[in-house]
Amino acid sequence: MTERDEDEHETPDFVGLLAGELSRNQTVAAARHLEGCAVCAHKLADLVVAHAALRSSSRVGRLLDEDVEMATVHDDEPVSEFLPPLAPLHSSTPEARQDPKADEPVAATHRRRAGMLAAAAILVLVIAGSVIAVSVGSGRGPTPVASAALQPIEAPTGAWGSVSVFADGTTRSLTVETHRLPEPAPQRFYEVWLLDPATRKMLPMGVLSPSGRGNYSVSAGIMAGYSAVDVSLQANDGDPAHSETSVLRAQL
Amino acid sequence: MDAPFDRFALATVIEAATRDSIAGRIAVDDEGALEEAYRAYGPAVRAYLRHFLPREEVDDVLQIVFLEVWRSRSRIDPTRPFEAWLFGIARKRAIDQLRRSSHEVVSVDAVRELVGPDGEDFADRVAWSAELRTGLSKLPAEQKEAIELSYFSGLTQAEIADRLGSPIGTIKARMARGMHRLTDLLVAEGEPI
Repeated sequence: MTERDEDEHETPDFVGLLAGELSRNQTVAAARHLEGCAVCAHKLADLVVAHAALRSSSRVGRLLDEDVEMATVHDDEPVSEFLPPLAPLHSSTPEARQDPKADEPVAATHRRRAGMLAAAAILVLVIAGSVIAVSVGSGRGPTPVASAALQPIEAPTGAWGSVSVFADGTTRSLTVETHRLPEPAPQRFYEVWLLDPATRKMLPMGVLSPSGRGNYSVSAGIMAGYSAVDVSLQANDGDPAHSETSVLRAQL
Repeated sequence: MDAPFDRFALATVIEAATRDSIAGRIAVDDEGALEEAYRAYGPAVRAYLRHFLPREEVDDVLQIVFLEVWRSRSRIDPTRPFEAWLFGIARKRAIDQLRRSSHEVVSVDAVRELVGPDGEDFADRVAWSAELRTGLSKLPAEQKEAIELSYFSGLTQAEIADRLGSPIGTIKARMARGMHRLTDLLVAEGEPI
């Protein structure tokens, strides 16, 4: 093909060709054109990787999405819109605690932003009593304003959890996630409370789902009066008061 | 119509920090970069794990995956796709979890998909998908939008033109330019770690 031909020839609609949007005649014509046009063959080759990746991604996305949809249908609560907080690097999950490498020291360099200062605070406070306060606002929708590890009080060894607090205007939403809490005996259930440790004032937030997760909302003004989250084991006896059997607690 | 993959979209977070910078910063001990990686890739890793593991085990394994990313950060090669490495770790930890657990019922199909060459292929595809999402986030918004409407919402170029109120020639040009750029980004990343 001459330079003049390159300038004058009409490039087929390759995006439409890959998408199957061309007619039979257009498709055959494009194929014949490609047989004799190295420039267009090269252009098409440039699209093929992106096309293949996009098709693959679409299929993978559908596959994973179907899994989530099935879980949403069959489980007792919808899939959480929020990720659980990333476990502190220096205590984290029980599995991580079993691994000596999980406690390796972290270089103190490169701590460039406020989040890094919060991470340093996490290290100190988790060791001292598991207080985590991070602010990782994304600027869209509810903004995470705090998270804390739920520590066992009267729970069996290995039970743990986390509390995340999200701000959306004047609403504060709590996401509570617990792990390895034993299934309560019949006619017993777990309940989530806000707690002011100084005055022992408590506010019931609601029953913890058997899945071990719960989402609760409260106004920012009310939330300001509490600094801890408590998970209690309650009897289904009609008494709305705290049973005084706390199994997990987090200091916000 | 919402794109089905939107729930796992990585783009909005990654726009603020490119994948390369995340991997590179983790490699030099930046804990903040790990947090960014968790927010960026955590949803996709979680969805991947949920394909194989019981729901109540997913978040534990998710945490283990990212802790391993941190512990293994000296092995990160920032010039190579971080996603392939990350999902390779996720696959291994999912296999560990299945072996360690005593599930009464384990899906044979799920295990077959996870273990062996087929499992590697699937992890690769999920990683490639994450890599693609990173690439998409680097495109101009109008190119990204047209491509997503085509591939994730199933619209034709004519339907996209109608939806966006743009001439079809404009849509064809946006898609072609965007896909050329995407190919460049995907090919430029080289071989997986």
